[in-house]
Amino acid sequence: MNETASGIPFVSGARSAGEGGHFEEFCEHPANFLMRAYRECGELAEFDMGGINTVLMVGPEAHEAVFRADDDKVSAPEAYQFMVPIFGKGVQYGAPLDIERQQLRMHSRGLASEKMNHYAPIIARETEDWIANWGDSGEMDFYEGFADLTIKTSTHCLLGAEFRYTLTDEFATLYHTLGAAADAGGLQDPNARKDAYDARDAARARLEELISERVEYRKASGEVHPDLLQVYMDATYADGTHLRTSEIAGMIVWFMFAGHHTSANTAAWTLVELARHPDLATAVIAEVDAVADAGTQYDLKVVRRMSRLEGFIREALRVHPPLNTLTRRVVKDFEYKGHVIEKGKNVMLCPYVAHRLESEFEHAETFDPTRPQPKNPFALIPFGGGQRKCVGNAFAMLQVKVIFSVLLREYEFELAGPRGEYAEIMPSLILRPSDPCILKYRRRVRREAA
Amino acid sequence: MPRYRVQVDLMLCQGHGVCKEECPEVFDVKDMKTGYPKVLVKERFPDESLMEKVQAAVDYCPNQTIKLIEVED
Repeated sequence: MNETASGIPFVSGARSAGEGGHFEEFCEHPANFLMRAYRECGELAEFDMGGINTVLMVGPEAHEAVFRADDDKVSAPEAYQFMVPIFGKGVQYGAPLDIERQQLRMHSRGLASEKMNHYAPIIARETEDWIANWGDSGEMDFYEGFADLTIKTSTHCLLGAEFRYTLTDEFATLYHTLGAAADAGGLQDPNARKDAYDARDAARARLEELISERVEYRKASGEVHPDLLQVYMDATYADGTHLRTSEIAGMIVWFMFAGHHTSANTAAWTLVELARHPDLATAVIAEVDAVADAGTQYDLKVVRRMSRLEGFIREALRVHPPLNTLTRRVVKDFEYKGHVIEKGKNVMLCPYVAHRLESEFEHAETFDPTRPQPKNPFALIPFGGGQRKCVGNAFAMLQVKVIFSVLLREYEFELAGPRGEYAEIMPSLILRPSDPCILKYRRRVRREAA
Repeated sequence: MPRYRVQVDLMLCQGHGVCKEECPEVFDVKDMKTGYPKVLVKERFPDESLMEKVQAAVDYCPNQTIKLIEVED
Protein backbone atom coordinates (compact mmCIF):
# COMPACT_ATOMS: atom_id res chain seq x y z
CA MET A 1 0.00 0.00 0.00
CA ASN A 2 1.24 3.49 -0.83
CA GLU A 3 1.64 5.99 1.93
CA THR A 4 1.82 9.75 1.93
CA ALA A 5 4.70 11.63 3.57
CA SER A 6 2.70 11.87 6.79
CA GLY A 7 2.34 8.06 6.86
CA ILE A 8 -1.32 7.99 5.88
CA PRO A 9 -2.25 5.18 3.45
CA PHE A 10 -3.15 6.40 -0.06
CA VAL A 11 -6.20 4.83 -1.71
CA SER A 12 -5.42 2.71 -4.79
CA GLY A 13 -6.81 3.28 -8.26
CA ALA A 14 -6.04 6.99 -8.64
CA ARG A 15 -5.77 8.34 -12.15
CA SER A 16 -3.04 10.78 -12.98
CA ALA A 17 -3.32 14.26 -11.52
CA GLY A 18 -4.38 15.65 -14.93
CA GLU A 19 -7.25 13.16 -15.01
CA GLY A 20 -8.58 14.12 -11.60
CA GLY A 21 -7.12 11.44 -9.34
CA HIS A 22 -10.04 9.70 -7.61
CA PHE A 23 -12.55 12.39 -8.48
CA GLU A 24 -14.52 10.44 -11.07
CA GLU A 25 -14.85 7.33 -8.92
CA PHE A 26 -15.83 9.51 -5.96
CA CYS A 27 -18.59 11.25 -7.94
CA GLU A 28 -20.07 7.98 -9.18
CA HIS A 29 -21.13 7.10 -5.64
CA PRO A 30 -19.34 8.95 -2.83
CA ALA A 31 -20.51 6.55 -0.10
CA ASN A 32 -19.33 3.47 -1.99
CA PHE A 33 -16.00 5.06 -2.80
CA LEU A 34 -15.40 6.09 0.81
CA MET A 35 -16.40 2.60 2.00
CA ARG A 36 -13.80 1.13 -0.35
CA ALA A 37 -11.22 3.65 0.90
CA TYR A 38 -11.90 2.67 4.51
CA ARG A 39 -11.80 -1.08 3.82
CA GLU A 40 -8.50 -0.70 2.04
CA CYS A 41 -6.76 1.81 4.33
CA GLY A 42 -8.51 1.85 7.72
CA GLU A 43 -9.07 4.78 10.08
CA LEU A 44 -7.20 7.27 7.87
CA ALA A 45 -7.32 7.10 4.08
CA GLU A 46 -5.98 9.76 1.76
CA PHE A 47 -7.22 10.29 -1.79
CA ASP A 48 -7.05 12.85 -4.57
CA MET A 49 -10.24 14.85 -5.15
CA GLY A 50 -9.14 16.29 -8.44
CA GLY A 51 -6.28 18.30 -7.05
CA ILE A 52 -7.33 18.55 -3.42
CA ASN A 53 -5.84 15.82 -1.32
CA THR A 54 -8.46 14.65 1.12
CA VAL A 55 -8.13 12.50 4.22
CA LEU A 56 -11.10 10.35 5.19
CA MET A 57 -11.17 9.99 8.99
CA VAL A 58 -13.22 7.13 10.43
CA GLY A 59 -14.42 6.26 13.93
CA PRO A 60 -15.75 8.15 16.96
CA GLU A 61 -12.29 9.19 18.12
CA ALA A 62 -11.38 10.67 14.75
CA HIS A 63 -14.81 12.32 14.41
CA GLU A 64 -14.45 13.90 17.83
CA ALA A 65 -11.02 15.28 16.96
CA VAL A 66 -12.48 17.03 13.92
CA PHE A 67 -15.70 18.17 15.60
CA ARG A 68 -13.80 19.64 18.54
CA ALA A 69 -11.25 21.45 16.40
CA ASP A 70 -11.83 25.16 15.92
CA ASP A 71 -12.67 26.69 12.57
CA ASP A 72 -9.27 28.40 12.49
CA LYS A 73 -7.73 24.93 12.35
CA VAL A 74 -10.12 22.87 10.22
CA SER A 75 -12.58 25.15 8.52
CA ALA A 76 -16.06 24.34 7.24
CA PRO A 77 -16.50 27.71 5.52
CA GLU A 78 -13.29 27.22 3.54
CA ALA A 79 -14.43 23.80 2.35
CA TYR A 80 -17.95 24.87 1.47
CA GLN A 81 -17.38 28.12 -0.40
CA PHE A 82 -19.23 26.56 -3.36
CA MET A 83 -22.44 26.89 -1.34
CA VAL A 84 -22.09 30.68 -1.04
CA PRO A 85 -23.77 31.49 -4.39
CA ILE A 86 -26.69 29.26 -3.33
CA PHE A 87 -27.36 30.71 0.12
CA GLY A 88 -26.16 34.13 -0.88
CA LYS A 89 -23.40 36.46 0.23
CA GLY A 90 -23.69 37.63 3.80
CA VAL A 91 -25.13 34.45 5.27
CA GLN A 92 -23.60 31.22 6.56
CA TYR A 93 -20.30 30.44 4.82
CA GLY A 94 -20.59 33.71 2.94
CA ALA A 95 -20.41 35.69 6.19
CA PRO A 96 -17.59 36.19 8.70
CA LEU A 97 -17.53 33.52 11.40
CA ASP A 98 -18.88 35.79 14.08
CA ILE A 99 -21.87 36.80 11.93
CA GLU A 100 -22.53 33.17 11.00
CA ARG A 101 -22.63 32.28 14.70
CA GLN A 102 -25.20 34.99 15.33
CA GLN A 103 -27.26 33.71 12.41
CA LEU A 104 -27.16 30.18 13.84
CA ARG A 105 -28.47 31.64 17.06
CA MET A 106 -31.40 33.08 15.07
CA HIS A 107 -32.14 29.68 13.49
CA SER A 108 -31.98 28.12 16.91
CA ARG A 109 -34.53 30.65 18.22
CA GLY A 110 -36.90 29.60 15.47
CA LEU A 111 -36.46 25.96 16.41
CA ALA A 112 -36.85 26.27 20.17
CA SER A 113 -39.40 24.07 21.93
CA GLU A 114 -42.29 26.53 21.95
CA LYS A 115 -41.87 27.07 18.21
CA MET A 116 -41.71 23.37 17.52
CA ASN A 117 -45.00 22.92 19.33
CA HIS A 118 -46.47 25.28 16.77
CA TYR A 119 -44.93 23.41 13.81
CA ALA A 120 -46.02 19.92 14.85
CA PRO A 121 -49.77 20.40 14.16
CA ILE A 122 -48.90 22.10 10.83
CA ILE A 123 -46.95 19.05 9.76
CA ALA A 124 -49.80 16.78 10.88
CA ARG A 125 -52.34 18.82 8.91
CA GLU A 126 -50.20 18.82 5.76
CA THR A 127 -49.85 15.04 5.99
CA GLU A 128 -53.61 14.64 6.50
CA ASP A 129 -54.24 16.79 3.42
CA TRP A 130 -51.76 14.71 1.46
CA ILE A 131 -53.51 11.42 2.19
CA ALA A 132 -57.04 12.83 1.97
CA ASN A 133 -57.61 11.60 -1.58
CA TRP A 134 -55.60 8.42 -1.54
CA GLY A 135 -58.67 6.19 -1.38
CA ASP A 136 -58.64 2.69 0.09
CA SER A 137 -55.61 1.42 -1.76
CA GLY A 138 -53.14 2.22 -4.49
CA GLU A 139 -49.47 2.69 -5.17
CA MET A 140 -47.23 5.68 -5.63
CA ASP A 141 -43.65 6.87 -5.87
CA PHE A 142 -42.79 7.82 -2.33
CA TYR A 143 -39.47 9.43 -3.12
CA GLU A 144 -41.36 12.06 -5.07
CA GLY A 145 -44.27 11.96 -2.68
CA PHE A 146 -42.18 12.82 0.35
CA ALA A 147 -40.18 15.46 -1.55
CA ASP A 148 -43.49 17.10 -2.42
CA LEU A 149 -44.91 16.82 1.09
CA THR A 150 -41.82 18.20 2.78
CA ILE A 151 -41.60 21.22 0.49
CA LYS A 152 -45.13 22.00 1.69
CA THR A 153 -44.39 21.38 5.36
CA SER A 154 -41.16 23.38 5.27
CA THR A 155 -42.60 26.36 3.41
CA HIS A 156 -45.62 26.28 5.71
CA CYS A 157 -43.50 26.29 8.89
CA LEU A 158 -41.02 28.76 7.42
CA LEU A 159 -43.08 31.25 5.53
CA GLY A 160 -46.56 30.81 6.92
CA ALA A 161 -49.90 29.56 5.67
CA GLU A 162 -50.43 32.29 3.15
CA PHE A 163 -47.20 31.69 1.27
CA ARG A 164 -47.71 27.95 1.47
CA TYR A 165 -51.19 28.05 -0.05
CA THR A 166 -50.10 30.32 -2.85
CA LEU A 167 -47.06 28.13 -3.44
CA THR A 168 -46.41 28.12 -7.14
CA ASP A 169 -44.62 25.72 -9.41
CA GLU A 170 -42.21 28.57 -9.98
CA PHE A 171 -40.94 28.36 -6.41
CA ALA A 172 -40.40 24.60 -6.67
CA THR A 173 -38.65 24.94 -10.03
CA LEU A 174 -36.32 27.69 -8.81
CA TYR A 175 -35.50 25.71 -5.76
CA HIS A 176 -34.81 22.62 -7.88
CA THR A 177 -32.46 24.63 -10.12
CA LEU A 178 -30.48 25.70 -7.06
CA GLY A 179 -30.24 22.09 -5.93
CA ALA A 180 -28.97 20.93 -9.31
CA ALA A 181 -25.95 23.20 -8.90
CA ALA A 182 -24.97 21.78 -5.50
CA ASP A 183 -23.14 18.56 -6.20
CA ALA A 184 -19.70 17.06 -5.76
CA GLY A 185 -18.39 19.16 -8.65
CA GLY A 186 -18.39 22.08 -6.27
CA LEU A 187 -15.95 20.33 -3.97
CA GLN A 188 -13.45 20.39 -6.77
CA ASP A 189 -13.63 23.46 -8.97
CA PRO A 190 -16.32 26.05 -8.35
CA ASN A 191 -15.89 27.53 -11.83
CA ALA A 192 -16.03 24.32 -13.83
CA ARG A 193 -19.73 24.17 -14.55
CA LYS A 194 -20.66 27.49 -15.96
CA ASP A 195 -24.13 26.70 -17.39
CA ALA A 196 -25.49 25.12 -14.25
CA TYR A 197 -24.04 27.99 -12.25
CA ASP A 198 -25.56 30.69 -14.47
CA ALA A 199 -28.97 29.01 -14.06
CA ARG A 200 -28.32 28.83 -10.32
CA ASP A 201 -27.56 32.53 -10.05
CA ALA A 202 -30.70 33.47 -11.98
CA ALA A 203 -32.82 31.18 -9.79
CA ARG A 204 -31.26 32.55 -6.61
CA ALA A 205 -32.01 36.12 -7.67
CA ARG A 206 -35.65 35.33 -8.50
CA LEU A 207 -36.14 33.42 -5.22
CA GLU A 208 -34.88 36.44 -3.37
CA GLU A 209 -37.46 38.58 -5.18
CA LEU A 210 -40.28 36.23 -4.18
CA ILE A 211 -39.18 36.13 -0.56
CA SER A 212 -38.60 39.89 -0.44
CA GLU A 213 -42.16 40.46 -1.67
CA ARG A 214 -43.35 38.36 1.23
CA VAL A 215 -41.23 40.29 3.74
CA GLU A 216 -42.35 43.67 2.42
CA TYR A 217 -45.97 42.56 2.40
CA ARG A 218 -45.75 41.49 6.00
CA LYS A 219 -43.95 44.63 7.08
CA ALA A 220 -46.64 46.74 5.43
CA SER A 221 -49.50 44.75 6.95
CA GLY A 222 -48.06 45.00 10.45
CA GLU A 223 -49.18 41.41 11.07
CA VAL A 224 -47.19 39.14 13.33
CA HIS A 225 -47.07 35.42 12.49
CA PRO A 226 -45.78 32.43 14.44
CA ASP A 227 -43.44 31.24 11.67
CA LEU A 228 -39.71 31.30 11.01
CA LEU A 229 -39.97 34.28 8.69
CA GLN A 230 -41.20 36.27 11.67
CA VAL A 231 -38.30 35.01 13.77
CA TYR A 232 -35.84 36.17 11.11
CA MET A 233 -37.63 39.52 10.72
CA ASP A 234 -37.58 40.16 14.47
CA ALA A 235 -34.06 38.84 15.12
CA THR A 236 -31.23 41.23 15.85
CA TYR A 237 -27.48 40.93 15.69
CA ALA A 238 -25.46 41.67 18.81
CA ASP A 239 -25.15 45.31 17.71
CA GLY A 240 -28.93 45.66 17.55
CA THR A 241 -29.29 45.72 13.76
CA HIS A 242 -31.78 43.48 11.91
CA LEU A 243 -31.14 41.05 9.09
CA ARG A 244 -31.30 42.72 5.71
CA THR A 245 -33.98 41.38 3.36
CA SER A 246 -31.34 39.65 1.22
CA GLU A 247 -30.04 37.96 4.37
CA ILE A 248 -33.55 36.83 5.31
CA ALA A 249 -33.84 35.25 1.87
CA GLY A 250 -30.48 33.59 2.51
CA MET A 251 -31.60 32.26 5.88
CA ILE A 252 -34.68 30.71 4.26
CA VAL A 253 -32.80 29.11 1.39
CA TRP A 254 -30.21 27.83 3.89
CA PHE A 255 -32.88 26.30 6.09
CA MET A 256 -34.71 24.69 3.16
CA PHE A 257 -31.55 23.32 1.65
CA ALA A 258 -30.41 21.77 4.86
CA GLY A 259 -33.77 20.31 5.74
CA HIS A 260 -35.82 19.52 2.70
CA HIS A 261 -34.33 16.62 0.71
CA THR A 262 -32.56 15.24 3.75
CA SER A 263 -35.89 14.90 5.59
CA ALA A 264 -37.76 13.69 2.50
CA ASN A 265 -35.22 10.92 1.92
CA THR A 266 -35.22 9.93 5.57
CA ALA A 267 -38.99 9.58 5.36
CA ALA A 268 -38.69 7.53 2.16
CA TRP A 269 -36.12 5.17 3.71
CA THR A 270 -38.17 4.86 6.88
CA LEU A 271 -41.16 3.80 4.81
CA VAL A 272 -39.12 1.35 2.74
CA GLU A 273 -37.73 -0.24 5.90
CA LEU A 274 -41.19 -0.43 7.51
CA ALA A 275 -42.40 -2.25 4.40
CA ARG A 276 -39.34 -4.51 4.34
CA HIS A 277 -39.78 -5.48 8.00
CA PRO A 278 -43.48 -5.93 8.80
CA ASP A 279 -42.52 -7.83 11.96
CA LEU A 280 -40.54 -4.84 13.25
CA ALA A 281 -43.21 -2.39 12.12
CA THR A 282 -45.83 -3.88 14.46
CA ALA A 283 -44.42 -2.24 17.59
CA VAL A 284 -44.17 1.14 15.84
CA ILE A 285 -47.78 0.95 14.66
CA ALA A 286 -48.95 0.01 18.17
CA GLU A 287 -47.14 3.05 19.57
CA VAL A 288 -48.70 5.35 16.96
CA ASP A 289 -52.15 3.93 17.74
CA ALA A 290 -51.68 4.41 21.48
CA VAL A 291 -50.86 8.11 20.99
CA ALA A 292 -53.72 8.58 18.53
CA ASP A 293 -56.20 6.81 20.83
CA ALA A 294 -55.17 9.00 23.73
CA GLY A 295 -56.28 11.92 21.56
CA THR A 296 -53.39 14.16 22.55
CA GLN A 297 -52.04 16.90 20.32
CA TYR A 298 -48.74 16.12 18.66
CA ASP A 299 -46.59 18.31 20.83
CA LEU A 300 -42.93 17.86 21.48
CA LYS A 301 -43.30 16.21 24.83
CA VAL A 302 -45.59 13.53 23.44
CA VAL A 303 -43.62 12.97 20.24
CA ARG A 304 -40.32 12.79 22.13
CA ARG A 305 -41.65 9.81 24.06
CA MET A 306 -42.50 7.80 20.93
CA SER A 307 -39.38 5.74 21.39
CA ARG A 308 -40.26 2.89 18.99
CA LEU A 309 -40.88 5.26 16.13
CA GLU A 310 -37.78 7.24 17.03
CA GLY A 311 -35.68 4.07 17.16
CA PHE A 312 -36.96 3.11 13.71
CA ILE A 313 -36.18 6.51 12.17
CA ARG A 314 -32.80 6.63 13.89
CA GLU A 315 -31.96 3.21 12.45
CA ALA A 316 -33.04 4.41 8.98
CA LEU A 317 -30.68 7.35 9.49
CA ARG A 318 -27.91 5.01 10.58
CA VAL A 319 -28.17 2.69 7.60
CA HIS A 320 -29.09 5.32 4.99
CA PRO A 321 -27.65 8.64 6.22
CA PRO A 322 -28.66 11.37 3.75
CA LEU A 323 -25.45 13.39 3.97
CA ASN A 324 -22.27 11.43 3.58
CA THR A 325 -19.46 13.85 3.11
CA LEU A 326 -18.78 16.22 5.98
CA THR A 327 -15.80 18.22 4.75
CA ARG A 328 -13.39 20.64 6.40
CA ARG A 329 -10.42 22.48 4.93
CA VAL A 330 -7.24 22.19 6.96
CA VAL A 331 -6.06 25.78 7.50
CA LYS A 332 -3.36 25.03 10.08
CA ASP A 333 -1.47 21.75 10.06
CA PHE A 334 -3.72 19.31 11.88
CA GLU A 335 -2.22 16.51 13.92
CA TYR A 336 -4.03 13.30 14.63
CA LYS A 337 -2.41 10.28 16.31
CA GLY A 338 1.06 11.30 15.23
CA HIS A 339 0.08 12.04 11.63
CA VAL A 340 0.27 15.60 10.42
CA ILE A 341 -2.37 16.53 7.87
CA GLU A 342 -0.94 19.52 6.09
CA LYS A 343 -2.57 22.86 5.57
CA GLY A 344 -4.47 23.00 2.25
CA LYS A 345 -5.76 19.43 2.38
CA ASN A 346 -9.34 18.51 3.21
CA VAL A 347 -10.46 16.16 5.94
CA MET A 348 -13.71 14.29 5.40
CA LEU A 349 -16.02 12.33 7.68
CA CYS A 350 -18.51 9.88 6.23
CA PRO A 351 -21.58 8.86 8.25
CA TYR A 352 -22.26 5.97 5.83
CA VAL A 353 -18.89 4.41 6.66
CA ALA A 354 -19.02 5.39 10.34
CA HIS A 355 -22.40 3.75 10.82
CA ARG A 356 -21.18 0.42 9.50
CA LEU A 357 -18.38 0.00 12.03
CA GLU A 358 -18.85 -3.32 13.79
CA SER A 359 -16.95 -1.92 16.80
CA GLU A 360 -19.72 0.62 17.38
CA PHE A 361 -22.76 -1.21 16.02
CA GLU A 362 -23.01 -4.90 16.66
CA HIS A 363 -24.27 -6.74 13.54
CA ALA A 364 -23.98 -3.45 11.73
CA GLU A 365 -25.45 -4.89 8.52
CA THR A 366 -28.69 -5.82 10.29
CA PHE A 367 -31.54 -3.32 10.37
CA ASP A 368 -32.41 -3.28 14.06
CA PRO A 369 -34.65 -0.46 15.31
CA THR A 370 -34.30 -1.67 18.91
CA ARG A 371 -30.56 -1.06 18.82
CA PRO A 372 -29.57 1.16 21.77
CA GLN A 373 -28.19 4.57 20.96
CA PRO A 374 -24.40 4.37 21.22
CA LYS A 375 -22.98 5.89 24.42
CA ASN A 376 -20.37 7.83 22.47
CA PRO A 377 -22.04 10.90 20.94
CA PHE A 378 -19.55 10.82 18.07
CA ALA A 379 -20.39 7.30 16.83
CA LEU A 380 -23.77 7.97 15.23
CA ILE A 381 -23.38 11.14 13.17
CA PRO A 382 -26.24 11.51 10.65
CA PHE A 383 -26.45 15.20 11.64
CA GLY A 384 -22.71 15.73 12.07
CA GLY A 385 -21.51 16.78 15.50
CA GLY A 386 -20.03 19.43 17.72
CA GLN A 387 -20.73 23.10 17.20
CA ARG A 388 -21.45 22.54 13.53
CA LYS A 389 -23.98 19.79 14.11
CA CYS A 390 -27.16 20.36 12.11
CA VAL A 391 -29.20 22.88 14.11
CA GLY A 392 -32.37 21.39 12.63
CA ASN A 393 -31.79 17.90 13.99
CA ALA A 394 -34.66 18.00 16.49
CA PHE A 395 -36.95 19.61 13.92
CA ALA A 396 -36.11 16.91 11.39
CA MET A 397 -36.87 14.16 13.87
CA LEU A 398 -40.12 15.86 14.89
CA GLN A 399 -41.15 16.27 11.29
CA VAL A 400 -40.58 12.66 10.26
CA LYS A 401 -42.21 11.38 13.44
CA VAL A 402 -45.34 13.46 12.95
CA ILE A 403 -45.58 12.42 9.28
CA PHE A 404 -45.45 8.75 10.26
CA SER A 405 -47.83 9.23 13.18
CA VAL A 406 -50.44 10.31 10.64
CA LEU A 407 -49.54 7.85 7.88
CA LEU A 408 -49.36 4.71 9.98
CA ARG A 409 -52.61 5.50 11.73
CA GLU A 410 -54.45 5.27 8.41
CA TYR A 411 -52.48 3.06 6.05
CA GLU A 412 -50.29 0.01 5.81
CA PHE A 413 -47.56 -0.30 3.23
CA GLU A 414 -45.78 -2.96 1.22
CA LEU A 415 -43.00 -2.99 -1.33
CA ALA A 416 -44.27 -3.00 -4.91
CA GLY A 417 -41.03 -3.65 -6.74
CA PRO A 418 -38.71 -6.64 -6.91
CA ARG A 419 -36.07 -7.12 -4.24
CA GLY A 420 -33.33 -5.29 -6.17
CA GLU A 421 -35.15 -1.98 -6.24
CA TYR A 422 -34.90 0.59 -3.45
CA ALA A 423 -31.13 0.72 -3.98
CA GLU A 424 -28.96 3.45 -2.46
CA ILE A 425 -28.04 5.95 -5.16
CA MET A 426 -26.16 9.24 -4.96
CA PRO A 427 -26.79 11.40 -8.02
CA SER A 428 -25.86 14.34 -5.80
CA LEU A 429 -24.14 14.52 -2.43
CA ILE A 430 -27.36 13.24 -0.85
CA LEU A 431 -28.04 9.51 -0.62
CA ARG A 432 -31.53 8.53 -1.79
CA PRO A 433 -33.58 5.50 -2.85
CA SER A 434 -33.45 4.63 -6.57
CA ASP A 435 -36.22 5.57 -9.00
CA PRO A 436 -38.97 4.75 -8.91
CA CYS A 437 -39.55 4.19 -5.21
CA ILE A 438 -42.99 2.63 -5.50
CA LEU A 439 -44.87 1.22 -2.54
CA LYS A 440 -48.41 -0.10 -2.27
CA TYR A 441 -50.68 1.27 0.39
CA ARG A 442 -53.92 -0.06 1.79
CA ARG A 443 -56.25 1.52 4.30
CA ARG A 444 -55.98 -0.17 7.65
CA VAL A 445 -58.88 -1.98 9.20
CA ARG A 446 -58.81 -0.21 12.53
CA ARG A 447 -59.89 -1.87 15.68
CA GLU A 448 -62.42 0.29 17.48
CA ALA A 449 -60.75 2.68 19.85
CA ALA A 450 -61.77 1.78 23.35
CA MET B 1 -28.79 5.68 47.58
CA PRO B 2 -26.08 6.90 45.22
CA ARG B 3 -25.95 10.61 44.53
CA TYR B 4 -25.36 12.10 41.13
CA ARG B 5 -23.60 15.11 39.74
CA VAL B 6 -24.87 16.68 36.52
CA GLN B 7 -22.16 17.19 33.93
CA VAL B 8 -22.66 18.95 30.60
CA ASP B 9 -20.45 19.20 27.54
CA LEU B 10 -21.11 22.78 26.44
CA MET B 11 -19.48 22.23 23.07
CA LEU B 12 -22.30 19.82 22.18
CA CYS B 13 -25.11 22.07 23.39
CA GLN B 14 -27.19 23.97 20.82
CA GLY B 15 -29.74 25.27 23.27
CA HIS B 16 -32.69 23.18 22.08
CA GLY B 17 -34.16 23.55 25.56
CA VAL B 18 -35.43 20.00 25.98
CA CYS B 19 -33.75 19.72 29.38
CA LYS B 20 -35.43 22.86 30.64
CA GLU B 21 -38.78 21.59 29.44
CA GLU B 22 -38.29 18.24 31.15
CA CYS B 23 -36.79 19.52 34.39
CA PRO B 24 -36.89 23.29 34.91
CA GLU B 25 -35.83 22.82 38.54
CA VAL B 26 -32.34 21.80 37.42
CA PHE B 27 -31.84 23.21 33.92
CA ASP B 28 -32.15 26.60 32.35
CA VAL B 29 -31.13 27.80 28.91
CA LYS B 30 -29.08 30.93 28.75
CA ASP B 31 -29.02 33.17 25.70
CA MET B 32 -25.52 33.95 24.52
CA LYS B 33 -24.82 37.11 22.55
CA THR B 34 -23.28 35.10 19.78
CA GLY B 35 -23.72 31.46 18.88
CA TYR B 36 -26.16 29.02 20.35
CA PRO B 37 -27.95 29.47 23.64
CA LYS B 38 -26.41 27.15 26.23
CA VAL B 39 -27.68 24.99 29.04
CA LEU B 40 -27.19 26.35 32.53
CA VAL B 41 -27.15 23.80 35.33
CA LYS B 42 -28.82 25.39 38.33
CA GLU B 43 -28.42 22.36 40.57
CA ARG B 44 -25.23 20.33 40.14
CA PHE B 45 -26.39 17.79 42.71
CA PRO B 46 -30.14 17.41 42.14
CA ASP B 47 -32.35 16.16 44.91
CA GLU B 48 -33.31 12.50 44.74
CA SER B 49 -36.94 13.45 44.18
CA LEU B 50 -35.99 15.08 40.87
CA MET B 51 -33.94 12.23 39.47
CA GLU B 52 -36.69 10.88 37.23
CA LYS B 53 -37.08 14.24 35.54
CA VAL B 54 -33.32 14.74 35.31
CA GLN B 55 -33.01 11.33 33.66
CA ALA B 56 -35.66 12.36 31.10
CA ALA B 57 -33.59 15.46 30.32
CA VAL B 58 -30.52 13.25 29.82
CA ASP B 59 -32.41 10.76 27.63
CA TYR B 60 -34.19 13.26 25.40
CA CYS B 61 -31.39 15.77 24.83
CA PRO B 62 -31.00 15.73 21.03
CA ASN B 63 -27.25 16.17 21.34
CA GLN B 64 -26.38 13.83 24.23
CA THR B 65 -25.02 16.85 26.05
CA ILE B 66 -25.84 15.82 29.63
CA LYS B 67 -24.30 13.09 31.73
CA LEU B 68 -24.96 11.90 35.27
CA ILE B 69 -21.85 11.02 37.22
CA GLU B 70 -22.24 8.94 40.36
CA VAL B 71 -20.48 10.54 43.32
CA GLU B 72 -19.31 9.21 46.67
CA ASP B 73 -21.15 10.59 49.66
